[in-house]
Amino acid sequence: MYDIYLKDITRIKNDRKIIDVVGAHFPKGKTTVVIGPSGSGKSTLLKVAAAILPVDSGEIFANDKNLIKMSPKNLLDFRKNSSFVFQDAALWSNKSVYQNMSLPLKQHFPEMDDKVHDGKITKILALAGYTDSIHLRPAAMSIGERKMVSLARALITSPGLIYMDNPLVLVDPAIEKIMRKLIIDIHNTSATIIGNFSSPELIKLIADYLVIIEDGKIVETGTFKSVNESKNPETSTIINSLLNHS
Amino acid sequence: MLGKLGRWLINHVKALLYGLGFFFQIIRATFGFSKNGHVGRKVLTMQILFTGVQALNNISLIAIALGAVIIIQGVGILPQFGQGDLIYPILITIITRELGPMLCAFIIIARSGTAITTEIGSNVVNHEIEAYIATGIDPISYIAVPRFLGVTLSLLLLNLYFNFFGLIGSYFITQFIHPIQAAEYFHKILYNLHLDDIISSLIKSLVFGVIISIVSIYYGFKVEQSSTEIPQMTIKAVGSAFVLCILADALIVLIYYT
Repeated sequence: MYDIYLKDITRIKNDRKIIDVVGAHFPKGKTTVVIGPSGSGKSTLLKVAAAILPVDSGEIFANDKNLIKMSPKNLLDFRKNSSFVFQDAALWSNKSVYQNMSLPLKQHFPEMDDKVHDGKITKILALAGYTDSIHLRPAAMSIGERKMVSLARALITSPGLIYMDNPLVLVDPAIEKIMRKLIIDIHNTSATIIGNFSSPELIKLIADYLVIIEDGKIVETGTFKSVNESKNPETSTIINSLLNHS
Repeated sequence: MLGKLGRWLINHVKALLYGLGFFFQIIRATFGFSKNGHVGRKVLTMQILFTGVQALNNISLIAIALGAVIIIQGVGILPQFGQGDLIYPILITIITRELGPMLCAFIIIARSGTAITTEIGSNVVNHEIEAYIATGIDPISYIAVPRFLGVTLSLLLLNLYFNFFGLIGSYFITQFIHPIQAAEYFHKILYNLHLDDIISSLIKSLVFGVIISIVSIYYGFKVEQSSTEIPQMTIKAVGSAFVLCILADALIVLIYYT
């Protein structure tokens, strides 16, 4: 499990600060949901917090260790215990479903027995609701199936920290129901979730903490209750339009 | 005007330093490949298959045709000047020292260089590179190094293959048009073929392999977010690889003859 803390983070693109965060805390074992209007920098913030995208300044701490200055060995250990579900699935297009699931296992558990390895893949794919052939390539799958596999791939190494960037967007209701249940089950474990979800119902159900972001800056952060009842006009506007509109 | 020139210079120096940094990063990762590259070995095998094995047909056809053309032209023209035996050093200079490495390089640029840039560019656009990073797989070790090793090794072997077909295979084709005694032909080829011809040829293919792979990988990773950048970067990769290979060839020849 990891406690993630961002300090004085900036990411600049085309001479514009697309992320400008003084401080943000994602507590260990809790689910923190990032909320903000479209284009506010939610996905970028998640990728920065996962040290996938480089930053121009600042520090990213995982259990008080700076990910930016971490040794390759420690960073590999962090990667082994964390995973990322991408908004557009980001499955490796030249690999089959089986190979997409197998690669993280081969990377982090090279000594794993073939039977255990294959059993794990079958089990996690079934949990995510994927029932089609494991030999299909992403191009032959629907977007819903790709997202299922993407979620399954993120869970294959049993990580303690999972970043989820809108995993349910563009997914049909039947698949959404299965994936939603799986996300709630993960939330009920001791795993840390840092996510960006578009479903207000799901956010209300799983969010322990909220981070409100606008134009790359964090407007407010705190427990779900405190942010939801915030008197800050910017926060209220965002909460009312994205969370309490229904 | 001066400001523009200054900015142009700074940008080019920055790009050059970035390119050199990228090159050394790949070289450094290459040394750790045998130890840490357990997931990348299959990628290396596939790269050798695509770049080396699948190019064999093209290479052998071109080598045989080129060798045959040189022999037929040579045995037709050179004896008129009393220099019939010059065909052998000419054949070795053209096939082994010059066109062998260069034509193999051109074929690899067209076949594999473009494929590498396109594939990596498409990986970047589809966030597949980010997925590798998130999984703890270093894109340099997993994507760049196997392609670097695969292309360089394949080019080296394709050049040997080109020489074999250019010098030996072409002889058999020539027999249909202009028969030469086999014993005389092979004896004179071996007599005129020196170790430095082979070394020069291998050095060239090694250098061309490094250039083609690094340039193709570099431009693949230069794609940022749009699929329209992929063909643009591929064109730049092809152009740069051609120019750099020709310049490197000139430099090697210059060093050799001075």
